[in-house]
Amino acid sequence: MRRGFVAYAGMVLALVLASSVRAQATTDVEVKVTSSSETHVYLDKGRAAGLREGDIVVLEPRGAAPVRATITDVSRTHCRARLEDRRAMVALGVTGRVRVPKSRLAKPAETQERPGRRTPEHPPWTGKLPREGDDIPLLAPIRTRGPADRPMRVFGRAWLRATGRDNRFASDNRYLLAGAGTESVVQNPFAYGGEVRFRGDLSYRKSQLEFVPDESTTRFRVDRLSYRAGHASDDTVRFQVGRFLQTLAPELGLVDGAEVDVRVADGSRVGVSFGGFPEPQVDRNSFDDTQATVFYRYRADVEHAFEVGAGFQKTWHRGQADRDLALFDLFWQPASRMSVYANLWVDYYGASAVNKSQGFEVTEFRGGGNWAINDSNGLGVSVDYFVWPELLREEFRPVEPTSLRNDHVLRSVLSTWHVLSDHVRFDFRIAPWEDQSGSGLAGDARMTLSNVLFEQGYVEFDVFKSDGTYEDAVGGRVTVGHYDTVYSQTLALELSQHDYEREPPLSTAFNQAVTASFDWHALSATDLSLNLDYRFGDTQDTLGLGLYLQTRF
Amino acid sequence: MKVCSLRPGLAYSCLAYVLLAFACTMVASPMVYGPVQGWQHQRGPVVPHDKFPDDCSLCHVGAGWHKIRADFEFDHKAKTGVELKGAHKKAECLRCHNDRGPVKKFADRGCRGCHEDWHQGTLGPRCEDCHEERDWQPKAMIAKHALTRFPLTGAHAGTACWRCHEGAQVGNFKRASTECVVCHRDALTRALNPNHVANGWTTRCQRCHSPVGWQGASFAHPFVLTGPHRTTCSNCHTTPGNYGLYSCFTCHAHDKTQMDDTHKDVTGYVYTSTACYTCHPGARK
Repeated sequence: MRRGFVAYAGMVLALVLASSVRAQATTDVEVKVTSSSETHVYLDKGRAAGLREGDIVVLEPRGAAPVRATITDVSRTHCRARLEDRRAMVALGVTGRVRVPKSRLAKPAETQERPGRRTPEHPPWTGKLPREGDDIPLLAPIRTRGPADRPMRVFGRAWLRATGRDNRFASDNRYLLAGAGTESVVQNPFAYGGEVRFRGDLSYRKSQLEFVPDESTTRFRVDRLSYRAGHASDDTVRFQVGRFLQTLAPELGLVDGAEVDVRVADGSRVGVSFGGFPEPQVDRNSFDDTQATVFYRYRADVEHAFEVGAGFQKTWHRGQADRDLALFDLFWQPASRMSVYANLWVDYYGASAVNKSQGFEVTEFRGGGNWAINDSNGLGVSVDYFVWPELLREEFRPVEPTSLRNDHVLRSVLSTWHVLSDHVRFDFRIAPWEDQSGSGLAGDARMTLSNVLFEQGYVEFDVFKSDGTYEDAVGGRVTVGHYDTVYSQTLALELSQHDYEREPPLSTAFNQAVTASFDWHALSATDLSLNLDYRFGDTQDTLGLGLYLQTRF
Repeated sequence: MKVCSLRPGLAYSCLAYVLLAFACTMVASPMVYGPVQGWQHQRGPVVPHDKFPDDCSLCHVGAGWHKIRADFEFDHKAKTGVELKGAHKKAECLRCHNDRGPVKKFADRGCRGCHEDWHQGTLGPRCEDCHEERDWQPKAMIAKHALTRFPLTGAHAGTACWRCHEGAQVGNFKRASTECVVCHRDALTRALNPNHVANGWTTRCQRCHSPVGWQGASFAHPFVLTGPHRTTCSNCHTTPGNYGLYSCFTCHAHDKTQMDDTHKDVTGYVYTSTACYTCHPGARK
């Protein structure tokens, strides 16, 4: 009995002592709300009062239940705290308490800014105040700097790249593409606003093919060199001269010339462009073909994007009338998780057309939509239709008359994705196609396991089927990926079976592929990518290597 | 505008210059341009601050508040609901948040809201199907090509993109025809044994060849070649270069008089190899 009493008394004493020590170890700092936003409040105490990120604030509105918040940002004299209950209404002036360890207050060195980080005194105020004599410099109106006040600024990126492929199956063919280039923007070059854009690339490519002489070319190519004035969508007048991609309708191609577009009403713009048509080959020859375009675009100023465009392009090939092309496009977000797009090219052929009937013909259509049903499920659909246009201009290889008359491709893709948990995701795609010689069906299914086998990594399992013009393939692929803040790497193994559509005997082959990539982001503005692709098996023996080094400035 | 085609010496000089410039940029950029997320005060107060904390020193230091604190961090996902990945995570804030208009207006349009479509709209708006945000380098394109009607295997898996898509180097992947002859016309004219053009074999190469390579061609002979028929082509196809013509009489020494007599009751009988084969396919009796 006596021993029990002693033990009980000891416990009580220990509790009293513990609470006493605790009371001495912490103290309450009183704070007051100075400002509030939807989810946060700003308080009148900061690091100097011993507050730190993560501290809990208990606010005590009059006549209401206490509201808890967590400090997210702290300066020397103020802090910002996130409300735990977003629906809570906290008025200015509401007071509260933050329990902080006394040890924070005991070390003066921690309560002050570290040397070099102390906010310096503000220099003498030179801005003109709205009313003289009002000593309210912080309420002075903001004066936007105009182009004349802003200095010129240059930014962009530069890259080095090299890719090589060596095919040793059946014949010995090698390809190499190497180059260096830069894409730069000079903002406000003449103190009138606007910007000069440049993109250039020096490339070397070589092919060593069996039975034919080696070929190599070295080219310096300019893909952009233009001066553009006006960059906001609601600028009254915008123009661009030089070599540029047309602003209102990039589908209509690169132009050596000039464009101007004018805002005609809220959200509506009309633009015209004139100039030569640089060829899409590496040479970028120009002015064999010239073009004139007029384009209209309407972009609704609503919560969700809605824009439509329509344009007409007339081209001439060495002075001879060539193409009459009408282009229509649409982009619409009927809801925040849904988008729809369409792009339609219609050519008009006159009496001079040899392989096309006189009249209008749909040359290209591309359309589709994406819908994220919720955070876990989504689907997308796209349709793609194409026929060869009859042109005097030969962008690439000449198209056979029979192809002009008969060839078409209709391809559609239905894709869905499902997130089962933080660790498991499924993706499915099915892509039927049809052309002048047949039809087929391709598709794949993928399961991704994230952070399951190891942290900061994933494993993907793919199965795919491809029903092509000349072969059918079915196979599987396993990809393992691992990433960190400074690097990421992947390794994939692929197994596939191919049936080639030769008339009998139908031949079957089994192939494998190993692919690997390594990306390094050690420097804040520089990335290095390396990749390897080795394919081997019954009908392939190919090695591909790639390097890409990029720095932003 | 014709852009010059350089002589190799000049080209390598240019390459050396670009390499040097590249190296200098890499070395100098961290010093000249400072850390990412840096505030470019020259642009002026272009970002509305009305929802920012009252205390400027939470973010700014220095005379005139032109500098961002060295320890400034902004959890974009936690504070805006939009996670920045890859290159966007490293981008300077004002590249997106500037005086061109609300970011949401641009972001709603996807990649093309801010970035020029290098492919000129020919590949649709779903950039993420081929690219990822880190360095924008497309990867595993051979696997992605398998979803088209021309999966890449054999020689085609070992071929540079620009051999078929001639505009690949400038982002133009406009369709390439899947007709073999469009790309392989040179190979067709070189094929002299047997002479493909003379025989009229200028289309439907898949009858004999597979897409893995020109070698190892096989074909479906009108009848299965067994026994003595597994012989040199020219024993039957006696007209050089023309495999549409053939003669059975090289081996089958049928006397014309005897054959005429044997077939005297056969309507339409003529003494030619073609006629023999019409009635005796597979060289059967």
